[in-house]
Amino acid sequence: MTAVSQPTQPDDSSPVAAPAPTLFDFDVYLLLIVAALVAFGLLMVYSTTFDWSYLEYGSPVRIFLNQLRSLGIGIVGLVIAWRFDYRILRDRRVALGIMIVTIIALGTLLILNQNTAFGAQRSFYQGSIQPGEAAKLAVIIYFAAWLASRQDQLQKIGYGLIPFAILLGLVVGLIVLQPDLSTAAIIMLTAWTLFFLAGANIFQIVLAAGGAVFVGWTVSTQFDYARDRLIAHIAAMQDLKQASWHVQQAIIAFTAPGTRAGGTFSPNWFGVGLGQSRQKFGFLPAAHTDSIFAIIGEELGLFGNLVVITLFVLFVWRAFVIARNAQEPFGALLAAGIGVWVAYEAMLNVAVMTAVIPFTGVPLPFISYGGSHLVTVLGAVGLLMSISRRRSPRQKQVTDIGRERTDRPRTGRMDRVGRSGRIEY
Amino acid sequence: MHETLSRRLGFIGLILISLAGLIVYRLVSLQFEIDTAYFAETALTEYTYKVTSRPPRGEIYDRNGLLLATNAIEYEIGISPVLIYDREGTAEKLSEIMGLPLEELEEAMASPQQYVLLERNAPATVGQKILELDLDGVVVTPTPRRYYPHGTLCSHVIGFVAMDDIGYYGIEGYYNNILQGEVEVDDQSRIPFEATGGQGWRSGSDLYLTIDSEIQYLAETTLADALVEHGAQSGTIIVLQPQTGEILAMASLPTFDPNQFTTTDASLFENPAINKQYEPGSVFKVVTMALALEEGVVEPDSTYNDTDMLEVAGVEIRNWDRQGHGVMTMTDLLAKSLNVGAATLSLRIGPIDFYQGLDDFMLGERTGIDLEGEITGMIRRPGNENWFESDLATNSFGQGLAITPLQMITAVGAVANDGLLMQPHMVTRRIDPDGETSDSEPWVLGRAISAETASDLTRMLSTALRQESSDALVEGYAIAGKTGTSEIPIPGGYDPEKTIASFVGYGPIDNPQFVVLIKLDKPTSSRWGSQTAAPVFSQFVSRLVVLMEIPPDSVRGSLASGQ
Repeated sequence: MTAVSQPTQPDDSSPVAAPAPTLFDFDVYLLLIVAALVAFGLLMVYSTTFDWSYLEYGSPVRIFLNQLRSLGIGIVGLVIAWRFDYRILRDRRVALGIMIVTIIALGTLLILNQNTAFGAQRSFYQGSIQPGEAAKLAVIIYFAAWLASRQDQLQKIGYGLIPFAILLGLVVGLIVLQPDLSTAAIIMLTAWTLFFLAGANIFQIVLAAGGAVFVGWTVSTQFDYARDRLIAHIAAMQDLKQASWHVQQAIIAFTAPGTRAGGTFSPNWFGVGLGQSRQKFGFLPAAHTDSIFAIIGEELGLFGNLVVITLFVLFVWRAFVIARNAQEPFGALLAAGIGVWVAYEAMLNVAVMTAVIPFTGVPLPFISYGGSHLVTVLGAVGLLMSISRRRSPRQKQVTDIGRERTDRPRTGRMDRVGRSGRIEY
Repeated sequence: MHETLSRRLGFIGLILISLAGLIVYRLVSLQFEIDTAYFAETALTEYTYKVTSRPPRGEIYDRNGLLLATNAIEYEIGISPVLIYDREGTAEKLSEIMGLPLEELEEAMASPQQYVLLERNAPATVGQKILELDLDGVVVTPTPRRYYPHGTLCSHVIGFVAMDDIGYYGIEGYYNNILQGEVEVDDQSRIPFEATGGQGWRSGSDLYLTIDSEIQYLAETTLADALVEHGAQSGTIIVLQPQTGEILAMASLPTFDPNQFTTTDASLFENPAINKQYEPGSVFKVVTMALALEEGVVEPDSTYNDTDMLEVAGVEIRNWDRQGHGVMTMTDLLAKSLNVGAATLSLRIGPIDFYQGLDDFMLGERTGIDLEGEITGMIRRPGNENWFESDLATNSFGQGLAITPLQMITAVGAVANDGLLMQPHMVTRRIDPDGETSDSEPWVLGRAISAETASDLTRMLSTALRQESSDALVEGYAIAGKTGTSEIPIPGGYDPEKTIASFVGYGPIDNPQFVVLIKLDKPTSSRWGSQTAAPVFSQFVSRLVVLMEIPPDSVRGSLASGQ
């Protein structure tokens, strides 16, 4: 909390914005939220892996240590992204370079990789590196840069929509071919949101959404596994007993106290206790990765689930605040893009686990086991921190004062300012 | 741009927060919507699995306590390669004990599998040595196996226990539940650290058979020699204690080793003494005579005129020598085994009393012996579609009906036991795991004939044997008995050459201690029972009396008079 007491904060009464470089000149709340999510994730990863880690490798911490190593790499990435000026990414050559590397990686993966775990090729080095994870961030960086540099021309339909659709189609197409429909869907959704945020008109937005839904439907019905899941989901919507095995296992986890008490109903407020899950012992598939939210529900109940959801809401809120306070459009779009990406991914994960949408494997950001994912998302947090260091120095000149003021009390830094009595509605 | 962005960010934020709200609603409503009982059931079936704990199977002994069937332990030996830290050392030790090549073990340890099976049926000594070493990652699982120390001895009576731990045939089959004990099926949890169900099984009871292994062994060796001597394909010897119904020996050849049941022709498992029907032939005249005397149609000293042919309902009945023998006594009838005479008797008895009499001897029915696989006989009766009047005549000398050897000896046993039909049985004692002992008591099935008829018939049978100076006679012992030569039915009539030669006899006649049935299938030395089965009977009984410690008649007579 030393951050908020820094004397170098810009004051509304003073037009001079001269942030002196200090260590805590970024959005500290964001880091605290992320720290909470990551710590919670580590706890749950250990809880869900110690048993099979012991059976498989003879050591209960082997898998946990893997995750710690990923966390170490992620922290390095975070620090680098934080200390560097994110604006170098705005440079068209850099952004394009990142995009090209991503496309090459995805293409190479398609050609070379024979790792067909779960019927999909998603990783290099026997599962060590999944370029699909990094691709999500790369796409956000590239489109943020692309949209920021073209915002005046976005309204022109041909100029705005078509190249956007082509570039997006290339990346998404490569991911769909893996096939990894959930990652493709998240990239599409995030890109569409960025397009909307950057100022595309409603007609373009609806057209893009309609096109995306049409393509998405056509593509997903091309894949047997996607169609099967869709059919299974329609059945499950009517009766959870018809749901897929995986979903049924998740339901058992979410309702653990009742199901354990021999079927007498008992709401799962606080779960069966940390570490006490039964579903994690091989019954719920991917308990430590995609299904970790259900184990949280089993061990810590609705309370645990709500804590996690609240942390995500807070995270997205901080990301949006950073976006709103960003100095220039690229930073704003980048911050917003990262925010919605994490939001979509988290929601998709939870919605799948609670049988709201058809089954698909998506990690729960910050919490699920998985190196590529953790490193990428921590890198993105570093970018958010970097953006938050360079807030707009001319905020008070924003014409819509009222709107600006209502925002201020919500930001960490503005809090102190708010006490000066300037908040009025 | 910022203005638009701010506005639109707010809009997106609103959408996101509503979606989050929906998800929270879903999380909560899920608790109330689902069929908790269904998912509880699903979870429970997943969390638990059944473990069948098999208690030690009861052992089987003969009447003198000789162990006939017991349990041996073998070991399944395997490794979990990932749990082995000292691979070289472990491989060397295993190689030394198990005699497996070192390379094979090293290869197994390099396997990515969780479990590699090295040997399924390792002997107990090997398994125990490895268990004592307590090596990391080496899995030694004891697997119980049934073991029969005496191999083929008594195998038709004992049966065997198959891979599914269920007994088949004989005692193992009939008493499976008692020998097996209570097999408990426990729910075991798949959740680590959670307590699992208890192991409250009850082991099986031990059984003591009525079989005397020495008599059984004598029967088996005698039978084996007889098959060679008389060129017979197969055969059966049964020894019955007439007063109690205890089976002292029940031997049939060819037989099998129950330790190697997996590699045995399955047709050998069936016990011919209880599982194969045959036409008893002239031995059946004992029954016909018993009924004639019982019904009073003849007296022991009655006579009849034996002709060379008797026509009954269009069927010609002839004697074995196709001759008429003139005026014959009842004893002559038995001695010369005259079919015309037997048919004369059964015709005089009449169908109703004759077949009622067979029922009194329980012929054609299962005797109810405690062995798995007993079958009924096949006796057609008046009223049956296939019964003809001529059957009454042919049945009288054991043709046109089929029974098992055990049914035959049980009926003759009733004659030897003053007319009381005893339940033949195989188990004399049962010892439960808690030490409680129950002995089987002799059980009367009913009275077949009066004691007077029985003693008359015994005297007549004994006289008949002596009169013909039969090969069945045993020196020093007065015995009663009857030969039989039965023809073997084939489609369209009887086999012109092959016969079943048999002899059923008992003794000593003043206090019968044994009934012996000898049956030789398709002998080639002679087709007649009097020339094949009879001498085997003599040979067998002369040793049997030694084993049973029955003094010769003269000795017993002097003992009796001395008292």
